[in-house]
Amino acid sequence: MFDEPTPAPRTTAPAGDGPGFPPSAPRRISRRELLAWLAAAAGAGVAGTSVFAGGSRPVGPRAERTAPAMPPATPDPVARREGGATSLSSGTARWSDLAPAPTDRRLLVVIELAGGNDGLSTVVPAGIAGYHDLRSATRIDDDDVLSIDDEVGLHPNLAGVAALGLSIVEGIGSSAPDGSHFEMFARWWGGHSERVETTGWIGRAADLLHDGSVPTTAISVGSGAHPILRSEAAPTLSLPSLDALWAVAGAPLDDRFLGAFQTGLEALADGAGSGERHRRALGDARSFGERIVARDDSGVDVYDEYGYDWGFGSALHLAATLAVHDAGVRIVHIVMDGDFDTHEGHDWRHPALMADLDRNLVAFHAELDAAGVADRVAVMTVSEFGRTAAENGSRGLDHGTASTALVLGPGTGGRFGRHPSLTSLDEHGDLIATAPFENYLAGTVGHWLGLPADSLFPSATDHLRPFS
Amino acid sequence: MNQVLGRLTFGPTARQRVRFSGATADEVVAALLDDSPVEVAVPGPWDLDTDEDYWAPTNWWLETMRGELAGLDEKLAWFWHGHLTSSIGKTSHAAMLAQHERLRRHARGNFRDLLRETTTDVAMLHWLDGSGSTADSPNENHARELLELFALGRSSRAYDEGDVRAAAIAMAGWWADGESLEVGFDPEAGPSRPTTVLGRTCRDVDDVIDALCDHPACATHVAGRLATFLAGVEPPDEVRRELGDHFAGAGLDIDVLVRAVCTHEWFMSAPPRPRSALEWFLAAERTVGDRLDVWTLELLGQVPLSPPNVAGWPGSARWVSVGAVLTKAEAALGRAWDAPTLDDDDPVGDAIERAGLTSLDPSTAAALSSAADRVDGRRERSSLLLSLVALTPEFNET
Repeated sequence: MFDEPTPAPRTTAPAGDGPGFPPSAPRRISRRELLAWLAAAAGAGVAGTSVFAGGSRPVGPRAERTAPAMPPATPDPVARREGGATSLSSGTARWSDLAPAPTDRRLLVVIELAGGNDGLSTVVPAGIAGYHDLRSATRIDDDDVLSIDDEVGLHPNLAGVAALGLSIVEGIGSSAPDGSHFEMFARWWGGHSERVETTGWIGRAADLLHDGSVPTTAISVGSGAHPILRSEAAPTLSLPSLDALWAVAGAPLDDRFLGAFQTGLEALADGAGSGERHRRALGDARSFGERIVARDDSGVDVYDEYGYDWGFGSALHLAATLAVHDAGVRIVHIVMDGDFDTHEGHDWRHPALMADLDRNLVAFHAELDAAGVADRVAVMTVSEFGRTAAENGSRGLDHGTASTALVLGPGTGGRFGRHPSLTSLDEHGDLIATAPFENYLAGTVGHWLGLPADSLFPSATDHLRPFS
Repeated sequence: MNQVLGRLTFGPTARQRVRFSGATADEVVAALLDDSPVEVAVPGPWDLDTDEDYWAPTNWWLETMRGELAGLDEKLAWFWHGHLTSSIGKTSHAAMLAQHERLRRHARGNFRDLLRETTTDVAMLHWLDGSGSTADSPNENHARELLELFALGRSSRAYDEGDVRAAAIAMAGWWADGESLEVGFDPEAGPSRPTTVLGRTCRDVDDVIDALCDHPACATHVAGRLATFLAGVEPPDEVRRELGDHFAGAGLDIDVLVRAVCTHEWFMSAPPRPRSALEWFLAAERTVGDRLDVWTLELLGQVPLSPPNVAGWPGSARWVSVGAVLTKAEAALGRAWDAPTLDDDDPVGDAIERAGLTSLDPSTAAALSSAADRVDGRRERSSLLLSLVALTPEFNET
């Protein structure tokens, strides 16, 4: 009685078999499109008033902010080294000079430079023997390096970061390095430099931080359900961007459509019947969203303040909003847009990435500073590996081993760890890490968040604490 | 009826609802079991232009799942992918597609054949580092997961560390090439003497597979995994044992196991479970009448061909979370504006119908009605209801 007619065997991929789908390729809707769409839906000038409740800055097409195909040919010659002077001391409002807020109000922002960031181009070992021999096409000119001391200096495009003050952590990696992104991502996310753990270190931190008073203490922005968030028990949250919160909370009064959607979600959350856990998640999403989005009264326009890389800027803006409103979130993990996997064209791609990082971090600090909460926030970078010591034939660098990390925030400043030798290399000609990377994670995460680093990172042999 | 279709297929689709109108759950199960499998030709990477689109194989599979005729066998191919995992992130597109073809071919065949073929396929040899493992210094990853996850289960206590090491030695010597899809065995790197796995002498990988498949814990473990996948909760021990005995008695004939699970009183009376991310995604697409971006699946944590780890996707509790709600709300809102307009006389009823829902709690229906009253115009009301209905408790379970 329910027999299906026997279908003709398919000989090709059954593309287009779906019921009446349009052929166009699906893609993600942008915030700009959503705003325009809602403006059209409401028939009124809603655009620009939703995420950024101040609404004073209209959001329109911003073609002029699309990323340039090539970075400027020469980096900004800000704070060039002159006769060995230390440019790190320039600037007045130094983030590093602040006294940190009490531990339970602190936020840690973890920026993942996915693809493998070259440590030698980030903190340049201009004064360490071997650098000039290893690098020719990708070498930073001595005169451009923002000198820290006789050995190392920052990439010239990190002038803003240099002015804020920072710690650098050198030589971190694995004693058994692997060339696979996949393998090394997994080790970093698990917090163990030699093997892959089943939980992520931010997830484990959330297990320690979660007390049920807020929906989540740890968020990852700009990625899917990120393995770094895998916890034993505590809830963690992956967000594509602010838009996702904005869909469920903070509809402006004159936006009847979105208001009806959000009121409807509230009614579903308050309903009865089965699906009790789903209804509770609806309610939590609403209350969490209201706590963040509806109170984002900063008036900050991410396009204006952070620059063209909107994904990264909006993630940092979310982190700032969480800090300003003391939302109970303690760790925000951000995967930076951009591609650090510079197998070719490193000489022009990497400077653009450094400039992007610099611009966004300066804007992030400015937003925190304006709200008077810069003392609550520290930023740390992570990346799965550094790049090869020597260049390949494409003005690029292949997958390497040890790398260098940056830490910004109250109480930072100085060099930590030990720079790898540039003349005594491993059997593949690559840098030999001077410390397992979990030493860096343990020292930074443990100190800033006041968590027991030994239980979070049991394989750490020492705590590299990049704070004074 | 809806619950059974939601569990045994990716439905209910409009076509299934017409086909099974008025049928009992038992009748639906019987019909689904007897449907002849839809023949699906798995394309090669050259058909999909994987150089241009990394996710082309995933999108191809999603398209197959969307097919109106996709039934129980499609769901079983999905189950096996989550049980005998491999990931596109660690092998070639070609190898992933070749493994997928094996999973489909054996989806209701014999488990021993399925396990044997997937143990020495390119994607698996890459995924669990079997490729290049030598008997002198074996990589234990593949052997460990084979025992722990694929065949016996840790809780069975059927094996110990010695068995893992012995299996790793017996399985050594293989290599795999992701581009040519060649798999080879290098006797130099292979075992020079037999080892003992589960008390049986094993000279090579085939001996290991036989030792595992002949062990009673294997049938029980696999039966438990399939039952848990379909029902969303683990079966009680006595049901697991009963299904395992049945499966073992049938010589690990998967079709016999599938029938035993689907017709079991425990399965038929299991309470609603959360829809997995993929089940929700496909149902939401049908509701708004448009494809959603595969990025939504990434955010929800369930991209086909890219499992989070060797254990596949976690159980059903995982699919309910604040993060999932946020992602679903954004995805539904993002597509609803272009969705078909609803019957103006009964927009709520039409939205419920398009969502494939049959019985709603009165509070859900009231929430939809009062939301509809807050906006003007057929376009707005249709968009609102179709996005909201995808967030109802009823739509999020099966």
